[in-house]
Amino acid sequence: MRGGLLHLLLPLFFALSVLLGPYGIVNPFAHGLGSFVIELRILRALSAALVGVALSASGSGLQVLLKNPLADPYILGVSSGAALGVLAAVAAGLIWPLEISIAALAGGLAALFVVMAVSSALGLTSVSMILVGVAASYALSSIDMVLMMDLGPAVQGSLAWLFGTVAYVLWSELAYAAPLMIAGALWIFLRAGHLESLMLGDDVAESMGVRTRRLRAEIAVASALSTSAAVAVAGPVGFVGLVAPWLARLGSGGAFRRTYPLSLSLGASLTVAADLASRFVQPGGMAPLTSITALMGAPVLVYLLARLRR
Amino acid sequence: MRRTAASSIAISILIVAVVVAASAAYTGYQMSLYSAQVSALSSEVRSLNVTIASQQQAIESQLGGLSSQQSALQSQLSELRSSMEFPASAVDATGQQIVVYSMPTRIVSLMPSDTAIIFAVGAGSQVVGVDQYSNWPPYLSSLEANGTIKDIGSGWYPDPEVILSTRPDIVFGVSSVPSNYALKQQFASYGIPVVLLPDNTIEDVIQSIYTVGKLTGHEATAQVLAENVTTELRFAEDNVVGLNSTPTALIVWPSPIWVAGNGTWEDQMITAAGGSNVFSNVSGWEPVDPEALLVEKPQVIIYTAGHGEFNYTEFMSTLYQELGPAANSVPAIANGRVYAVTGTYNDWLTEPGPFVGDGTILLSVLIHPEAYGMNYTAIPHVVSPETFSLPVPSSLPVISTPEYVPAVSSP
Repeated sequence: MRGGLLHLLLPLFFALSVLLGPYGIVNPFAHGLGSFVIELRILRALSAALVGVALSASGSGLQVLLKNPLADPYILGVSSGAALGVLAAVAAGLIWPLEISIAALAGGLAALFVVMAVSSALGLTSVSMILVGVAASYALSSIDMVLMMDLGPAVQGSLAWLFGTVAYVLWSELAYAAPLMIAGALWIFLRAGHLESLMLGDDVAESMGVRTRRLRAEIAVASALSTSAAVAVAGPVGFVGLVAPWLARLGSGGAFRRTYPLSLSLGASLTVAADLASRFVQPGGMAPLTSITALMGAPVLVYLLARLRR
Repeated sequence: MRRTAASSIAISILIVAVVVAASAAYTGYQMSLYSAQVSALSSEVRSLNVTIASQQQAIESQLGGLSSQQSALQSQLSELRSSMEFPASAVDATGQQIVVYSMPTRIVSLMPSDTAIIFAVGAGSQVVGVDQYSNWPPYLSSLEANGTIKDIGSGWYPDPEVILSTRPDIVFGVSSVPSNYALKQQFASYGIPVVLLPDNTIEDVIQSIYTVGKLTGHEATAQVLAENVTTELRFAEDNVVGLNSTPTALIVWPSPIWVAGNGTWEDQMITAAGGSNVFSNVSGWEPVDPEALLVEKPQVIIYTAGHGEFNYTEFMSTLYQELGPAANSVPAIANGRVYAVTGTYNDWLTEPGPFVGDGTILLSVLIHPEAYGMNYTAIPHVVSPETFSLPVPSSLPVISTPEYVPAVSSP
């Protein structure tokens, strides 16, 4: 099967991510401080992988659903909503990681609720969802900016949640967010057949027994659930949800049912690799995840497109 | 008869000659005896001298050994004294009771203000990691260069693994930075306490000094430090007591203009220094429109110019460009009472650390030079330790650079 080998990237990057870091190479079965470092790295790698899965699941679903190759998990306003949640929490003095994470989840879901409500009133078509989503993103971002100016220096300490990192994930956060991320990804997988019918057009899908309005709502909710949970864990990590579905399509091709699992695995690999790289870009510091996912994902995407043209 | 007389004379001469010769010989003999004795004696004296010198050396080396023993004992005693203070406990800004069972020897600090407090209470030799912006005491950079202390990067956005790589036994952060809370929870499961020090008000700073002193085994020094800071604050307040409070703008970041508003320690410093903060209507640290200066009309504008990043002439020309000719309606600008505070003085006004007292004195001099018998024209526009020394009496306690005593390695 074409692209099957690409699945091996995930265990490879996962292993590297557990073995390498600023602390140096650590025996995975070490005791004492070494075991803390290993635990920290496993937690980071696991979070990054789940975030990658959630974002590429959401991106894959939305690109098909909205018939838009540029759709990404944040097209329905989830990331600006989550950022608003984080900033509002910090402004209200809720500063513990779990509080911030739940605020992000709530903000993301609230934004989706508003977008879905408004676009249902407008007929719940692809165009209405995209336009309302983009409008909501801009509106929410403007509130985010006001809050950021208002919060002053506290914003600098919240950047981790605004730019994306898995360095501060706690097991307790992963414990509630992981089921949401996995559930969202599974839900979209269960609707893979319907999504394939939808690719043939709304009328054809309807004639095949797919209730398109309901499908739109389901996919939107499933993707928002996994995206919001991903944002709650790592902040709004960008580009993965856009590029992973494309990498899967260009890397293996074929029906949605075929490319979907590969896109999840590639999304996870990309995020784990980006987190690994983020430990080394700046000596003694970390780069935000989004900067690395974009830096690493963009050249690969261009390369695959160029190869396709030849 | 004449012959007899002559011979008797000759004989007597002979006898005299013999006697003289004999006595001369005897004397010569005696002399040689003496000189042998003298040389024997002097060699004895020499050897005695050598013995005395060697004995002296031995005594001296014994004394040296004793005194080094004494200092070793003393340091052991002081170590014992401070270890007697353990287990120590203190409550941090989150309300958590932090218990430290033995004297920390591997401290990591995430903020410049924390680093300054830790060194000022005398725990500098126990520090193994500081954030990249920590710059006091002055010898910190050489300790980082020789590898004694590791630069752990940004404390606003710290990498947990980099901190773990210093093998810390305690970490100090601040309560205003969310990522420090995340670190606290992560490290809790590893048994490494992360102490979040309060950093909003002057009282917070004093509280932090006590907390750090207690948890690092330097309670007595911390007590003295806290008292000195309080004395400095009182000195500034006493000097401006009864004077009109002067409308003052404290700009903590010049481009774009950020000011310290209500609820900040800088606001308290302005008040203590006999000023009234024209931006007390904003809460916390906020950016303001330059036009706000036209509205608030401060009589004194003080801005923190970093370590030379924000040039005074550029700042003034920017102000004139932004405000136009109306700039001269601001009394501080019209009267030339705009001050760029730079160098160490900059850190006094930007870090909630042990220098809040010195910072307040500096502000009181800039706001009320008349209280110190000065005219404001005597103050340069660029205020730094090089251009302007504070007119304070030598009796005032100063926060001096702490001595760095490398930790005694235990056998």
